[in-house]
Amino acid sequence: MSELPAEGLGSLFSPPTEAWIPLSPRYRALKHRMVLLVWGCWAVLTVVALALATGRWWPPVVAAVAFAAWIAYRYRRVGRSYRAWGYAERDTDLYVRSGLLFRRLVAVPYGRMQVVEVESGPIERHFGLASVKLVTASASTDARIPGLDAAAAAMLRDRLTVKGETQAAGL
Amino acid sequence: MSESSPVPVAAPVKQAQRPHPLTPLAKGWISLVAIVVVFGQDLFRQLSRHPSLRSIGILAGIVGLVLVVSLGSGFFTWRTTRFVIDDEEVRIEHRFIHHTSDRMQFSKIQGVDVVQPFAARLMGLAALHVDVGAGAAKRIEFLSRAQAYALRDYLIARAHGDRISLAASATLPQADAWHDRAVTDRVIVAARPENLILSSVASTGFLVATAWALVALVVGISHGSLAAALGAAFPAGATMVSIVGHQTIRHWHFTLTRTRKGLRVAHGVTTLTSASVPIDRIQGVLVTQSPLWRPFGIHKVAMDVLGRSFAHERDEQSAGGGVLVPAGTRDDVRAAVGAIWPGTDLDRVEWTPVDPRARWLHPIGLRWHQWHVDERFAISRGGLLAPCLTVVPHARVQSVAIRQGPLQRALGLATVELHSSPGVVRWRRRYLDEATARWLALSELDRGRAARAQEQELRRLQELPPPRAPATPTVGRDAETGVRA
Repeated sequence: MSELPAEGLGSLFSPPTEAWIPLSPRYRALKHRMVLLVWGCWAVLTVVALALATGRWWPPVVAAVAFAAWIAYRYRRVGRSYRAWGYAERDTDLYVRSGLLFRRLVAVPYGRMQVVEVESGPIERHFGLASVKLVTASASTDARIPGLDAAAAAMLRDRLTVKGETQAAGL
Repeated sequence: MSESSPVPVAAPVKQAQRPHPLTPLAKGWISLVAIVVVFGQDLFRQLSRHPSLRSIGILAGIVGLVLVVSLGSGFFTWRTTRFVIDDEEVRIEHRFIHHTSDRMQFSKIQGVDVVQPFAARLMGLAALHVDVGAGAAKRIEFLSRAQAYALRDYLIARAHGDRISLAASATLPQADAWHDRAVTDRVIVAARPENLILSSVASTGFLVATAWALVALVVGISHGSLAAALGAAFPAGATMVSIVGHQTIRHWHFTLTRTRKGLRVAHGVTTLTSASVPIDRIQGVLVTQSPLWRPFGIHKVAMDVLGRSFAHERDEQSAGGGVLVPAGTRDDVRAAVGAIWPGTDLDRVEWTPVDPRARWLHPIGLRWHQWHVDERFAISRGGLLAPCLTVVPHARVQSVAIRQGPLQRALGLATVELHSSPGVVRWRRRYLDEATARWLALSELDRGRAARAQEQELRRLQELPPPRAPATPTVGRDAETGVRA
């Protein structure tokens, strides 16, 4: 269980239970790694391309500094966006909160769930993570919990499936 | 659901029926018309440029070939299609190239449409589309019109759980051929031709085309060349005609009718389509008014029905199924909504305004943004130029979301969304203050549960055996066991 993030999300996005259940800390590590990898690649490519294209010393240096600042910002932001994620299980509904700039709280009644999917891509698997996705009859539901421990994800899926079956509602 | 097996299981010997013998002719005609519509313009242009005996001969050859091929395939399809609709089952078998045998449970039938393309209509034929809620509708092409109507009435009665026999169903009042209306039916909404034409004339596409035509004419004539002016104006004129024609042809004679079993929508000038409206499966309703319709007080009402893809049907123009009122007055809107949800009156809703702080984000027309929630529905409306009103029954809400972007956060506002099955209806209420948004979203889940529980209770009461045995109990019981077996 985690306390509310430092900047506070206000009562609008406060948990319906005692606290939001956070994602796995390894998800934060994954995101950190991805920021370094993806933006690092872009930075190297841009700097090399600028150096070759202009033939002067300062454009690549400016680009490198700008990229360094940007990567530092993104790196810090990962922690905040990680804390913005959270889910909560109540007797009848599942709540998922996400987003830093554009915040979102989605609530899905267990009885409305058609399928609970557990997904894990190669990178997620490397970190021992999996995401749980809830599918209802509505295409706009979009309730996805990324970055759970693979075991926790499987357990959550099983719990949700059982609750979905006992509370199933027709369409 | 339907079962498909490559080799039909040997069923007890039954009187399997074939579609009407004129079917290949009707199908051939339809494909010929389709060819002419698609390639006609090109061919005509070619011919007028090089009018020679040879090109006419080639054209005739192509037309003849198409006709022979479609007649031939139509004939064999007809020969190999059989269907059984009796007191026990609905089964459609195709054994032409792909062998399929579709058997439908009466209780799974969501709707039955009678579609009459122009050619078929002239021959007194009609196609039966049986919608089982998933996948494409199962079709029987073509039957005689009277038989199609009779079978439609029978299937809908059975789908509603009536244990009526086919013979007993045939004795009930039958619908007349042209408007598909029986004596016992009551018209709720009938689209007036002038409203249909007005609604298409007062549309953006039409006005753009008109402006184009006028500019072309003025410029052309001022340069002294009438021929060039007409040439430039011609495509715009064609567009204008097609916009008006499309809307009027599709929705001509549009009627929403209350029948013994639910509602029915019938419309069309060339192709007459008559579709049953499965009220239980309506997921939401959208009332819109395009800006130019406002002076005339015209509204359009669309609905989402679970498991029916109206987008697909729109392509082949077979059904405007998603449309409840194509172009109607306020009274029409009220009548239509009252028909699908008795006791609902959109004119008597006590609206709640949104938070006034939203004027910083939405300076003009904020007072039109309103919402209302009672124990059955959530209603949201907004829009100054293009008013739009969405109604979603709580029992049909799949999930709920609160959203807040940076601007709304600065003002302490939030958006609430109610998610229903995919379609035209997207329930969204922006500019709520945070406390209201939180309350609306989280309590919506409880309202949904309560509404569904009430609905189930109602259904359970309806399914209880009636105090008196129906007139033909033995046939009904046998039919039921026959379906289960």
